[in-house]
Parts: sequence; structure tokens; C-alpha cells
Amino acid sequence: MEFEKMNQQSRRDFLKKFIQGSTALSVVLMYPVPSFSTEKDKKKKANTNYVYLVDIGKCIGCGKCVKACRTENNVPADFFRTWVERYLISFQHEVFTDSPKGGEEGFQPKKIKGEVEKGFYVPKLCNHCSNTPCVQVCPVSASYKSPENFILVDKERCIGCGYCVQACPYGSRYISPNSHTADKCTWCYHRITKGLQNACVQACPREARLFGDLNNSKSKVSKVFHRENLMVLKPHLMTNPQTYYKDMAAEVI
Amino acid sequence: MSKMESPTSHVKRVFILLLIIIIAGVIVRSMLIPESFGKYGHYRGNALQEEAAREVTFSEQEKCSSSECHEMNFLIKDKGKHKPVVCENCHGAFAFHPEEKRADPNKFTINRDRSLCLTCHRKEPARPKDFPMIVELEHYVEGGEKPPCISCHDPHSPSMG
Ligand code: HEC
Ligand code: HEC
Ligand code: HEC
Repeated sequence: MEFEKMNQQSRRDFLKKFIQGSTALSVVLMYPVPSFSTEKDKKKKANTNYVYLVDIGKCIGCGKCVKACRTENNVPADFFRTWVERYLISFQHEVFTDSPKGGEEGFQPKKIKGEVEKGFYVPKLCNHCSNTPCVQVCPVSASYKSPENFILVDKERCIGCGYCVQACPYGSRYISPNSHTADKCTWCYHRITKGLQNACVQACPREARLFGDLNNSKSKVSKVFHRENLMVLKPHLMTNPQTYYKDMAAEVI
Repeated sequence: MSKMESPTSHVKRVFILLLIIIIAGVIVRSMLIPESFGKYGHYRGNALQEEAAREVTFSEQEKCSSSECHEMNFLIKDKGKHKPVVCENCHGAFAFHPEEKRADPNKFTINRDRSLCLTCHRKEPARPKDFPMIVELEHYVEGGEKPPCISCHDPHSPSMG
């Protein structure tokens, strides 16, 4: 009698521990850590510090960058990896913005209410934030940050759920109607790794767009970065963008 | 209960069950997680190489400066005011030029229209004031006739003196 009771208890204990143990084990097994890769496989964080500089005061709104990007990256019609916005501000401080066809064909003159007090163009693109929400929300790890801090999309993994499109506060992402996956500016990763410039930077006739490595003292960006007063878009969101703007007015959102 | 079971058989059974669960877990895991996942971080490492391997369509304009090609156009532009405007802004991407042109003579077209110049030079309040701009209908337009810009300006060196 006594023996039977003891036996029963230990069996229950055993089953309890068994279930707990196997649950814990399966959780550990399912977590896709690089547990199977060897240490020497792992690329250390690249010692580069790429930044993109946009000089609003230089942009003439010709849209050649948008065109170059579309050609280089096969961006489908009506979608944009980079685009140019026009800001016209009247004397009464009313702000008018537009971006016909992303500015790709340039801008036609536009009548606004009242005299134009101030006007400028703002080129936009992915900010390649260091602390980006788009990578955090991806359920299948298709959005990722490369060792060089480029925010990229793995088209093979992407399931096209669109969470990242929603999460991006800058509207830099879209679901491509061709591949049905998320798509975005790659900072021309395929050109940079080949030693070329980004297509948009190369197309700009006014050097309103610059890209380069701050850790390389020969690069153009390293020469101007610390001398200029630079700003980022929506700093209050703490996304830590790596695309910086010079001469940016307070009206820009 | 004629034959007595071995007192440790139930432990054996549990361990065999556990082994089967572990093996199944490992198989399912290797099926779900792609190869090269986690090589550089929490993503498929090969995606990085695939992205880097993409083809380039925009070339560098030094490519056309060879003496068998368009050396003259290049040198003229290099000395003129259009030095910062790359050939591809007016003529289109040419990484596959001239091979593509030979395959299809209509591939590389020259835009001689006024609209080409006006996308950059039309007077616009949003444009920086230091950029040379013209009011379309005030710039050498006589009797409603709009002459092509290139009838006066050389597109490769547009300054008038
Ligand atoms: C501002 C726009 C623009 C740029 C930049 C430009 N071109 Fe042209 N190009 C034109 C136009 C417009 C014509 C047509 C000229 C004509 O018919 O008189 C032309 C004509 C040509 C022709 C035809 C033959 C000729 O000489 O007229 C060649 C070849 C050519 N360009 C090469 C180049 C090369 C090479 C570059 C870069 C070094 C370049 N172009 C840059 C606008 C441009
Ligand atoms: C991609 C934009 C772009 C296009 C297209 C373009 N230009 Fe230009 N143009 C420029 C830039 C940039 C300058 C240099 C301005 C400067 O020196 O500040 C310039 C300079 C000029 C100048 C010299 C102005 C001066 O100060 O002497 C003339 C004239 C001119 N362009 C005419 C033309 C004509 C004609 C065409 C069409 C064949 C054309 N441009 C097409 C960007 C462009
Ligand atoms: C009938 C000849 C003629 C035609 C056609 C013509 N231009 Fe000019 N353009 C000139 C002359 C001459 C000058 C220099 C004197 C001046 O500034 O008016 C000039 C100057 C310019 C300048 C420099 C203005 C500045 O403020 O420095 C630009 C830019 C320009 N032209 C662009 C164009 C464009 C774009 C077109 C086509 C839409 C065009 N031109 C058509 C003759 C012409």
C-alpha cells in the first residue's frame, strides 16, 4: 500500500518533468540561432560606416535620379525606391507639396494660393535606419541588416505579408506587383560591392546626392559630413536614420 | 500476468520515445531552416551574395571616351558647362551598349526635343536660384514658333560664349 502510493507520485512527477523537459528542448531546437555554423564562418561586423547625404539646397528637381533608379533596379511603374517631393510655401505659411510621378519627368510649374515665399525639392529614399522597425517586424527574417548596415530584403524568404511596409515611417517600402514580395531601395548594394556609385548618385548633375564610407578618409562624404549642419527625417521616432539631409526646412516631413 | 516484465522496460520505452521525438525535431528543424541561415546574422546568408550578384545597367561615362567610340563628344562635354551632366541622363543607360545597339539599331535613341532640356532648365520657384533657368515662352520664342534648343545650343557644351 505504502509502496504503491510512493510509486504513483513519482510517476506523476516523472511525467511532469518529462513534459517540461521536452517542451523546453523543442523551444531551444526551434530557435534558429546560428548554432550549426562554425565560428570562423561568422563575418565580423564590417568596419565601414556608410552614410547617404542629401543636399536640399542643390537639388533642381530634374528627376534623373528617379529614372536612373527605375532603370537600374527594374522598379515597376507607379512604384518608387526613390522619389522627389516639391515643397512650395506661401507667404501665409501654407505648405503645398506634390510629387507627380515621383518627380521622374521633372516638375511643371504649379499655381498655389498666394505668392511663393520659399520653395525647394526634397529627394527621398530608404533611410537605412540603424534601429529600424521594418527588420524587427518581419516574421520570417526576410528583411535584414547586412554586416555593412544596408537594409535588404531576401525575396526568397519574403511571404509578402506587408508588415514592413506598414512599419516603415518613411514610406520607403512597397509590395512589388511582379514578385509579390516587399521591395525597397538597397542603396545599390550590387553596385557598391562592385566599386561603383549608386545609380541615383551617379545620375545627379548637381551633387545633391552623395554616398560613401565615413571611415574612409578619402571619400567625399567624410570630407563634408562633420562640417555641415545635417538633419535626419523624423528624429523623434528614434529609428536612427543613416540618410542625412543638409539645408532642411522645418516644413519637411 | 503470466510472464513477469523486466522491471526497467518502462524506462526503456520512455527513452526510445524521447529519442524518436528528438530525431523528428532535428529533421523538422533542418527542413524549416534554410541553408546558410545565421551565417552572418538572423537571416539567410546567401541572400547577401545573391543581392550583390545583380546585374548593373548604368555604366561609367569614361567608358565612351575611347578613341574608337565617342571621344569627341566626351571631350567637348568635359570642357563645357554640361560636365556634371552624365551622358546617361540624356541618352539612357548604356552598360549593354554598344552590343545592344548592334542587336537592335532602334535601341539607343537620341531625344532632340525641347522637353529634354526643360526638365532641368525650366524656371521654377522651387529650384535653387544659382541654377541657370529660362522661362520657356520668353526664351527666343518668336511668333509662337518654338525652335529646338539644340538649334542654338550644342547639347554637349551649351554655353553661348
Ligand atoms: C544634355 C544632354 C546630353 C548629354 C549630357 C549628352 N548628350 Fe549626346 N546628344 C544630346 C543631344 C540632344 C543630341 C542630338 C544632337 C543633334 O542632333 O544635333 C546628342 C547627340 C549625340 C551623339 C550623336 C552624334 C553627334 O555628335 O551629334 C552622340 C554620339 C552623343 N550624343 C554622345 C554623347 C556622349 C558620349 C555623351 C557623354 C560624354 C553625351 N552624348 C552626353 C544630348 C546630350
Ligand atoms: C540633367 C539636367 C540637365 C539637362 C537635361 C540639361 N542640362 Fe543644361 N545644365 C545642367 C547643369 C547642371 C548645368 C551647369 C549649371 C552650372 O554651371 O551651374 C547646365 C548648364 C547649361 C547651360 C549653361 C548656362 C550658363 O550658365 O552658361 C546651358 C545654356 C544649358 N545647360 C542648356 C541646356 C540645353 C540646351 C539642354 C538640352 C539639350 C540642357 N541644358 C539639358 C543640367 C542639365
Ligand atoms: C534662338 C537660339 C536659342 C534657342 C532656340 C534657345 N536658346 Fe538658350 N540661349 C540662347 C542665347 C543666345 C543665350 C545666351 C544669352 C541669354 O542668356 O539670353 C542662351 C542662354 C540660355 C541659358 C542660360 C541662361 C542663364 O541665365 O544663364 C539656358 C539655361 C538656356 N539658354 C537654355 C535653353 C533651352 C532649355 C532652350 C530650349 C527650350 C533654349 N535655350 C533655346 C539662344 C537660344
